[in-house]
Amino acid sequence: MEQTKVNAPDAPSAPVSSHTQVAAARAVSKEVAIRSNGTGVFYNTDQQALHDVSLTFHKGEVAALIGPSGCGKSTFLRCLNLMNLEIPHCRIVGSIDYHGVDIVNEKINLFDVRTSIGMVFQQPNPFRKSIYDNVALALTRHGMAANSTNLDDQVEEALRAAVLWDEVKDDLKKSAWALSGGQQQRLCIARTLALHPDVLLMDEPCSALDPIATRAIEDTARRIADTGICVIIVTHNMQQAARVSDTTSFFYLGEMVETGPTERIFTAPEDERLQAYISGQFG
Amino acid sequence: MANTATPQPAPRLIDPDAVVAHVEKARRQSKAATVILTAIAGAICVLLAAILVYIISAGASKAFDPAFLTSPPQQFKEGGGIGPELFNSFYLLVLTLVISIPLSLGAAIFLVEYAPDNWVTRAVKTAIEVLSSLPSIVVGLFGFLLFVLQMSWGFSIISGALALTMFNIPILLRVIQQALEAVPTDQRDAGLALGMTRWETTVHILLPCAMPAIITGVILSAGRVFGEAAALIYTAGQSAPALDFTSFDLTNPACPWNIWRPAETLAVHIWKINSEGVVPDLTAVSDGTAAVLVICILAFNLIARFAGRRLSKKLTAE
Amino acid sequence: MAEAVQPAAPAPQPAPQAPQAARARAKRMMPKKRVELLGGGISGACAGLATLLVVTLIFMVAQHGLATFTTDGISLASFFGGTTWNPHSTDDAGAPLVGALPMIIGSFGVTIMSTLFVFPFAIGAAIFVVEIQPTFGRKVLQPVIELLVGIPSVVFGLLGLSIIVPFIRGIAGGTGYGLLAGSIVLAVMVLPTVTSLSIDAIAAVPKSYREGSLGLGCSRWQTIWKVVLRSALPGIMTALILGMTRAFGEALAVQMVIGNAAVIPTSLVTPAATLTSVLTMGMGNEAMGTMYNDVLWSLALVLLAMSLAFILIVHLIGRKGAKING
Repeated sequence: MEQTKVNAPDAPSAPVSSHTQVAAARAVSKEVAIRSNGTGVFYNTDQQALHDVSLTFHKGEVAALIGPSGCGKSTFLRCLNLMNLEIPHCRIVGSIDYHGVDIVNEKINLFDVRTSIGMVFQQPNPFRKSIYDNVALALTRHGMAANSTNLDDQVEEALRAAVLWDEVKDDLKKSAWALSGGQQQRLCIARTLALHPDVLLMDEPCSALDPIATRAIEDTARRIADTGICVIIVTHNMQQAARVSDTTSFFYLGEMVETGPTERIFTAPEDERLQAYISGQFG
Repeated sequence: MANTATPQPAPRLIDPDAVVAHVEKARRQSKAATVILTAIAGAICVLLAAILVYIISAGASKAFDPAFLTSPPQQFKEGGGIGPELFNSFYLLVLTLVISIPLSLGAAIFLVEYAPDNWVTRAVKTAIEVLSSLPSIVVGLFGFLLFVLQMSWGFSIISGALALTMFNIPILLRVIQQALEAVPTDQRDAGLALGMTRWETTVHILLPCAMPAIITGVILSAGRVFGEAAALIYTAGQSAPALDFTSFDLTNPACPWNIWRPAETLAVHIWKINSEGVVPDLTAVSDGTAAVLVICILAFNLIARFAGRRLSKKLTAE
Repeated sequence: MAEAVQPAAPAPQPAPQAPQAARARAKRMMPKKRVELLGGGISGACAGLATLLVVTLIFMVAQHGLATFTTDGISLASFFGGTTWNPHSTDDAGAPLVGALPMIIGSFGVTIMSTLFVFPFAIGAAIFVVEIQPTFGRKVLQPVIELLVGIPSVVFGLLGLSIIVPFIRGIAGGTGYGLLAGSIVLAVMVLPTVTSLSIDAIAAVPKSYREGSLGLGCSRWQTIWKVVLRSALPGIMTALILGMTRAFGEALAVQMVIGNAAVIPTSLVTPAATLTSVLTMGMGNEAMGTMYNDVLWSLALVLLAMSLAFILIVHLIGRKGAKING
């Protein structure tokens, strides 16, 4: 893990924020970022969409959640930043430990949790504003910019972190909706990174994109993990999981079936459902 | 269908001629229906054009006469104008919008963003629906009871504005609600996922997206308010005291900005002089007033169309 | 990173916690929870106020409208069944003549007749916009209809006075005022409402229904008649009912052309009256609390009750429509 940064090809953009933290994160590799304990999800009090998932995610890692459609992987992801609470009649059970706080059961500041656990959605969903405003909006709303120069700096830093700066630096005032799909998705990543999250959730971020844009997002995800952020990526594309992730967890019918280092999951799957899935018997 | 006409060696269960005849009949029917429907659509366009042309041409001589537009009305002799009525109409409209826009905006945000799925929300929704289907005369009579009598504000601009607010709330609420609901949900999700509150998400993300539709709806509703009379005859009253535009004494009945004075609007004026029938040049005055009213409403419509489009460009940086 | 986020634990202090050095809030902002509370509170208050107004309205109108029966001791039968409206005089037995039947018949008469007039035009125009010429429909016809909605009702009343009444007078003789003039004016007034709601109903029919029908070899008219209209029926019914609601409650335009004679109408072209026209004319002349005034409020209550009944019908149709279309 630690080596990846060193042999990363000459990045056009400046190194990502807060160097000291990155270093600290590397020094204690395998520091836990977020951990779920028996997490489950109920809809309408009786329909259980997710059963008893216990997973641990580490900083500086890319974790992939794979499985066929409707297996609960996205539902699980939406538990981690409590977005499921926005769905009426949806209830999360079990616990999710985030820096020593159980965000499911304890009284927490939901807004701070979501600020530091960022999320990128399946469809690129930039705000219908300029590129600059897309990144600046949340920064301003959270009072994270002291003045306009500072805001400009933070916007640039975030766009660089999402490897988008060079493409858009001259058009910051243009509408974000004029960007290509891949650029829009990286803009969504940038506006999340601007808030300096330590966990980044990506819900099938490439499903609406072409292969080249997909590649760019994957590289970006890797690079973000290398700065010490825990990246959790949901995908139904096994190749993508194999390319980008360090650990992989397989979900099936609302359960987490098997988890482990990505290489092991794809080369020596233990559970027969996972074997069948990997060999393409169902999708 | 064509192959039914080609003879088959198999025993013929259907008579090909009958089929052809049937298809022909269906085709003829279809053509006739198209013609009739087109005629109906054409008739509606012609009807509107005729109405507009009639109103404006009948009232043109008065409506473009500055003296008519500025002078006060006359009770028993010819040559009365509609100066105070014109002012009152706009003043009431502005006051009504100032009260009803924030209220409807708030209520719409509540219904779209906050409303829990329970009986309270259902009660609110039902109430709004009831309000939207109430005859405006009933709303006016309620205003008469509550504002004119109970609050003893008398026939006054404020009573009229509040009655019009009740008339306008359901219209505006529906427009704003639809505009907010038309914003894709992923915009809302994105805002919430960035740790913003519902309020911030609504104010900073959803409302800018919905604003063009809201502005268009507000201006169109303004047209409705501008032409409303039934809700006003027992709230804002049917008399228009002469206005003194040099007066800024808010207690002076002649002060145009005084909200405690009675204020007849253009629409009420048309109704009143026609039902009293004592003004000698009744037809000319009411035709002129109607023309002014309709021209204003046409203007609202045009502005609504252009404002929506312009604003949309500006807000979305496109 | 260890002290990354400290989700504001039960600690009640309002100041936001600085989650980490780099994210120390540069500006003091209102805590998010308070923003959310405030937002919900303000918007909820607006919705509450609107609801309160409606409840007050129903309560106050009912209170005054029921006074006729409670304080003035007029029986329901003589109000709803009486055919003579002359509240200033009494009949031979000394009971006031407050029969509302002429107005109720008048109101229902103009409402039903105007709906019959408007029905073919509205449905025809709606089919035209959605099925026959969508571009012309959306670019020309729909704006035209929207414009018609905006024309004030007094202007329609005036048009009725200056065109329709003389026209009827020329053909049928008499004064020209009456139910027929009233229904024609109302028909033009509710046409846009019914048309635009019917457009919505027809446009909401899934495209696959049409494709299925056309694919079976049905002609365009067969598709419209047997598939589209059938599926859009609940929506079209709703449109008609809402049009009726508007016609029933319209006051000034009707009052200007109906002739204002509170008698049981004997023909379509003799003066009549509706609930709204009597209310409009009478309310200004009577002091509050008199019997005449109370009876007027009872008429208002009947209007209110009818508009509630129309809403109820719309809901029933909606529920049934949901069942039909799955």
